[in-house]
Amino acid sequence: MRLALLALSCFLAFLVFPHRISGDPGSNNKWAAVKRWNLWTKVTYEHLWINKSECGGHSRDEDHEETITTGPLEFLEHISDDSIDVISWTSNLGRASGSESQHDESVDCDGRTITSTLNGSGSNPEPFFIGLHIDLKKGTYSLGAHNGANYTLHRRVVTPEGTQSSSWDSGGGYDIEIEEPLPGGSTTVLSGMRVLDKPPHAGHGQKLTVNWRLTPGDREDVELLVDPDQYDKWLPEGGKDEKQIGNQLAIFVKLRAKDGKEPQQKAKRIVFELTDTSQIPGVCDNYPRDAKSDHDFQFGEETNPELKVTGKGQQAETKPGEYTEAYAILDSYDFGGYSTLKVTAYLTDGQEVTGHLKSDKSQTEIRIPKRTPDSKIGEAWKKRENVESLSDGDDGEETPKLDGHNGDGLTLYEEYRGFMEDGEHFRAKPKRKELFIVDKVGGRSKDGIALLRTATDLLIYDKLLQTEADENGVVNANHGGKIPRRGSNWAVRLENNPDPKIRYAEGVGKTGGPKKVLMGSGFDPGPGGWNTAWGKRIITDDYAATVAHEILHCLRVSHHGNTDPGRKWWIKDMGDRGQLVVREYDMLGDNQDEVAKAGHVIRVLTENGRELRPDSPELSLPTYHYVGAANGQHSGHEDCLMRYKCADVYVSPSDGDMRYLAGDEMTGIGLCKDAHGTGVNDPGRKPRSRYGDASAGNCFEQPCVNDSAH
Amino acid sequence: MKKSCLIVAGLVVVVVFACILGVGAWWVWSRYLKPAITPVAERTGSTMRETGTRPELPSVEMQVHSAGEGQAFTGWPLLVRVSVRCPLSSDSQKPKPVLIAGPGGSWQESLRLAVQDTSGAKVDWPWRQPKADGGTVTLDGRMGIEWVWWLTGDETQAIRAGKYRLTAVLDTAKVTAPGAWKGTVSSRSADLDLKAPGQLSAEQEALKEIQTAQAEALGGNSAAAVARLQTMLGRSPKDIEALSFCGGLLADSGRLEEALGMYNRAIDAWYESNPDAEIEPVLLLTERRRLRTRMLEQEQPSS
Repeated sequence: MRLALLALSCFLAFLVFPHRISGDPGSNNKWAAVKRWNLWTKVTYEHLWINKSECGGHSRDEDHEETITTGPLEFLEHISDDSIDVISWTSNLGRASGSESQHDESVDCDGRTITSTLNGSGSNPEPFFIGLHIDLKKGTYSLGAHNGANYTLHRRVVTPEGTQSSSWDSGGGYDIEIEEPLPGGSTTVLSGMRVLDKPPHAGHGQKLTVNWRLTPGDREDVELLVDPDQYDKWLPEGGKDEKQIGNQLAIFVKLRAKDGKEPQQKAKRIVFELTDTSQIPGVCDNYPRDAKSDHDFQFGEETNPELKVTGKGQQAETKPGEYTEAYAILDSYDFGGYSTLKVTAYLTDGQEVTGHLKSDKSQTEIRIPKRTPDSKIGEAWKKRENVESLSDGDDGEETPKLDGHNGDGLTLYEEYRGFMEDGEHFRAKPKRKELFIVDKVGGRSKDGIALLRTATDLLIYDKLLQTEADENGVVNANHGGKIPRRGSNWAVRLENNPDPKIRYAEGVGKTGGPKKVLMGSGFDPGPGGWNTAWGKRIITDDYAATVAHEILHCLRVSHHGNTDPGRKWWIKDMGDRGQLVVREYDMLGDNQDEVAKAGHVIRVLTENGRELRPDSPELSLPTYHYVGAANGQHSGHEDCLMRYKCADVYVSPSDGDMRYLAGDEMTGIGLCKDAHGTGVNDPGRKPRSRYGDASAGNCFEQPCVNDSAH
Repeated sequence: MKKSCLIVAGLVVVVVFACILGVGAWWVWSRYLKPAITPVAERTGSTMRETGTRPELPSVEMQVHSAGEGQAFTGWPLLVRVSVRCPLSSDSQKPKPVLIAGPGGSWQESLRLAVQDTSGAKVDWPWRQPKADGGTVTLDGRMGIEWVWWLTGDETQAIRAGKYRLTAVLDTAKVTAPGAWKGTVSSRSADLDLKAPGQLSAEQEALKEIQTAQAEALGGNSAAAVARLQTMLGRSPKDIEALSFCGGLLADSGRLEEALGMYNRAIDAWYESNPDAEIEPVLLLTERRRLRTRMLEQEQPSS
């Protein structure tokens, strides 16, 4: 039973004090890392001695103080095997200096007083040997030194008979041998005080008090590595609003000896500090509306519970402790945020170590995200888009060429910071011109936008919500600070006309300012009409073409010409000889008297020359007709989105009073590249070209999306 | 006695050592084991959603035709129109053709309209649909799917008033046809406040009639739709939407002269109501010209 209890006690003791039993390898390493030591010692001897006799007495008051200095104790050897593990440092530059004073006073039985004073100082003439040994197996260190200087002493003895003085040199000294347990913890200072009882050769045979302090002779060469997680590819992100964290960057820091080993020292605290943090309104260029400015990067208190966060999230530091590594989480609130990070470690020995980027020692002010010094744009994005050579203010896209104005009005930085589209963020394409559309119509308007996309080769973002542009359609309203911006960039707003009586589509405004397309209500009958629209359908129909046509007007594309007579009022009437005729009137608004005056008789024929009677059912007069003419709105390339194709009739090229009924024409879905008439306008068409060449062709090279160019 | 003393003493020793163990363990943990910071392996790393690539999914667009934006009246027909288009390349935005099929073969099986109430619970409404043309369809930049679901006025009358959310869903997850697109994509949801109508304005009356005629036409009863529109035009002879819709229905039923008359009236009404407009009623003019061409083609053999 007792044996069992003893065994249990030993086991418990082992658990409680494992470091004592198993040693502390980490702690042992720190001694091996010390290359040299500085030694300071002070040896003092104070003595008051009083001896009273029957008729007098004798007293002596002695003070002796000596310091030992030396050059550094240099590393000598580290002997380590199974039985021994001793590290040694030595110096043969030990020097001692000191002072001594003594006051003697004696009174003999005759009452005679004799006083004697002794003063002297000196130093040792030759440097002596000092050794330090750390026995890692024993867990002790020992310091051995020879103490004692050559003194020049002066004595003055005062007796009733007179005063005598004398001087002499005194040498000798004694050895000091100290052996103490090694201190635990992280300290590398060996210091203490010990009273030596009758040290050999001390001469006086008395107790000496020895104070010593050994400090590592050179500071450990440490560095602080800053390692932002995934630094090469991390890009900042914003949240769904300005209050939400978009993404996070973990910043790891590690204290390391410059030789790559574990450091002996630790940091009392490590401070992460952001400077020059962007405060651009919003989370990206177009969201949210009425954005506020706040730091785009912050050390959040909740995300860094082990750190003390101050300065509106611009600084975070470790709580008091001992650290060789730490980390902080940086919260990002903006897709275009940028900042500069500095990390400082305050070491236990008072050193301040400024962290540097793990992969670049020269970078102590670390750019977040990874970027070049002259740019606010994340390098990962520049690499991805192959635009590393472009400046943040660049707006030089050449594709598609369109009207020849380079760029789309958005700087490289703005394209990088990106946009919100239907609640999802994207970064724009810096090598392509882009167009934004706030489409409140939806549904089949997308077919028109698809036509536009194909015809122009523009990148078109057409899912922007109303909240993803300001009330005028500006998509880069969130700006400020040091970011480059050319000016406002307006999306095309595609809206249903608020007036239910307006039943047409109309483009209002042009590149260089606000622009919108108003669609009349009930305007889209579907491909083929309500009752036949359903199922698989060709979607490049008149409605889609109209949407694209009106948007192109907003992009400064004009019609093929402007010579169409346009809307005319046709009636059947009695001619001069009493026969039925078709009379055509100009449209003059509400002034019907003037309308009547402007009328003239016309002949209406099919294209193959058959004349229609004024009362023929195909005319069903009176009604309005649209009349086209050569080189007018219907002219040029038939398959062009900008060509009209609605004329009922066209004017005969040989007779101004003759009208040919126009049959079906192609719904244009492209953009013409010259003015030549094709299809129904082909000069060689039989029986004739309807409208001929365009007055203004080459629609392909007219669109402009660069609001800053106008 | 001696034995019991030993047991008690042993127990005391055990308790004392247990206390020492506790204190010692705490000391060891706080001194040596307690991490000053979370070990690297347990840390939260950086986060980044961005991939630089946008999803390439078919698009589903939905439009709800009812009393007004976000509003529907019981007793009115309710029409929901959906367009499905091919995905676009995330880089170039070029159309990326996809084959749409259904679990049983027809693409129409993969398209559905989901209705939820305010609690998010699924609601079944007796939706009507046109007859599907069936089979698979390859969506590209030129071909798309147009679809419609509708309820008649009688059917909405039977629905409890309240707020609902409508979403069109293309779901081909269970499709096994080789080469067919597999996945699920939804339209933007539309919130609908269905309630009993109050006193209708003239515009609302007209809209109700148009939508009722649309529902009738969709249901295959064009004659009823035409009759309704003609009655409506008796009251509002210059309603352009009614005129053009009626013209289309008449043309579809082969009544070309009547259809032309409707288009003429629609165009006249348009010009009269927009005398200063710098643009033209292109769709009306185009439809009329198409109709006239048909008439001339029909007339040609006999002439």
